[in-house]
Amino acid sequence: MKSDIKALEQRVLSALSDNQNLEHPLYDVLNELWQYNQSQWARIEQMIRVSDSYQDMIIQREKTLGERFDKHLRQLEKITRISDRYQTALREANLELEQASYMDALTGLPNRRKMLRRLKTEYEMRPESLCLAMIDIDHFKQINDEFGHLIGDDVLVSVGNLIEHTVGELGHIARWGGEEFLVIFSQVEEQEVERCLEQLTRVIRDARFDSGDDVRIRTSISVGKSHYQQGDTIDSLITRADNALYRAKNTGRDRVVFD
Amino acid sequence: MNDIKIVSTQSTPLIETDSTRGVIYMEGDSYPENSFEFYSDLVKWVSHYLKESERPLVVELALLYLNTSSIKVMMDIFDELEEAHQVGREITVNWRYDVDNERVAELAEEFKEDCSFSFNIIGQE
Repeated sequence: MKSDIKALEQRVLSALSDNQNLEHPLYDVLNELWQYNQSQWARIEQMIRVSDSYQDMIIQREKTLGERFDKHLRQLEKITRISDRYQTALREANLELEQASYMDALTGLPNRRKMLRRLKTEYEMRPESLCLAMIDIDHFKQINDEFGHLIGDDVLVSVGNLIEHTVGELGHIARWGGEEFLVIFSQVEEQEVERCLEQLTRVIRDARFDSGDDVRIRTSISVGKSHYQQGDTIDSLITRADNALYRAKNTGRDRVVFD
Repeated sequence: MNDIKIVSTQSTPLIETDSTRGVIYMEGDSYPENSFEFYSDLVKWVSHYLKESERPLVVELALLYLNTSSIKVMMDIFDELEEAHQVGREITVNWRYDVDNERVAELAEEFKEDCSFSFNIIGQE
């Protein structure tokens, strides 16, 4: 049977407040028990209050920690995002610089630096099939003197384009410096290289370049060709092409000299 | 209040403060070996300025590359500025960049995202 505590308390209270009961032998005992019981209730209530405030404190603390954690997490994500973007920007800038460092700014062709790298790679892979053509525009200084450097530059660019176009898939061209171009032929039959270079001198000889007014500029090229020989280094290959070019210049220009 | 005057190097920005006018200037790249140490004076200056006065603060920036720890320091400073702004302080950040380098503007936008104070990203020719 479930006891009704409220009713029981009410009965105890009314018994204790009834003056007729003051002389009852159990009055003191009941009164003392009642007081004890009341103080116990008060203690329990206080404990509950303290416990509640502890819980409240912990919840608050957890909330604050949670908020701080979330804030740090957001911050971390943001830092990572910004940092990644900086790195991407740097990487792109690096690539642009790297590409620029391998390109001749005037003609847009690979420059000497790039060509030396390619030469090295080709030389390491299959030196025996390497063939170089050193090409120089004849009397280029006269074009510059007569028409000015801007027109001279235009001629240089046009000649570069014509070489690139004529050589096509057979080889790789670079601006070697000044009015000099270098072509690498790799794994191409020697006869085919010679045909290509002869055709190239014809193409340049027949070309007419814009001078800015009615005069059409004509020019020609001298070519020195070297083919890999036993014991050749990259330097000696280039030197032999250079020497052949020198002979082409000395024997009347507008020609190909095979080393 | 002691002002800061740090000259720029290849890896650290110029930093100058002017407590009478309430201005901070920063310009250059920032990838110091120890960013937290490098920026400690500036961080202290900002806290001190915000605590000791009620005057507005203008931050003039022309920063280019920031390494990760520099980004963290800048975000901490912006957070502190935001807190001050939330309780009524007038704060302005002017982040200037070269129009040829649009990426800097995009990154400044990232910083701006959480700031409710006046944050201007200004392209210059």
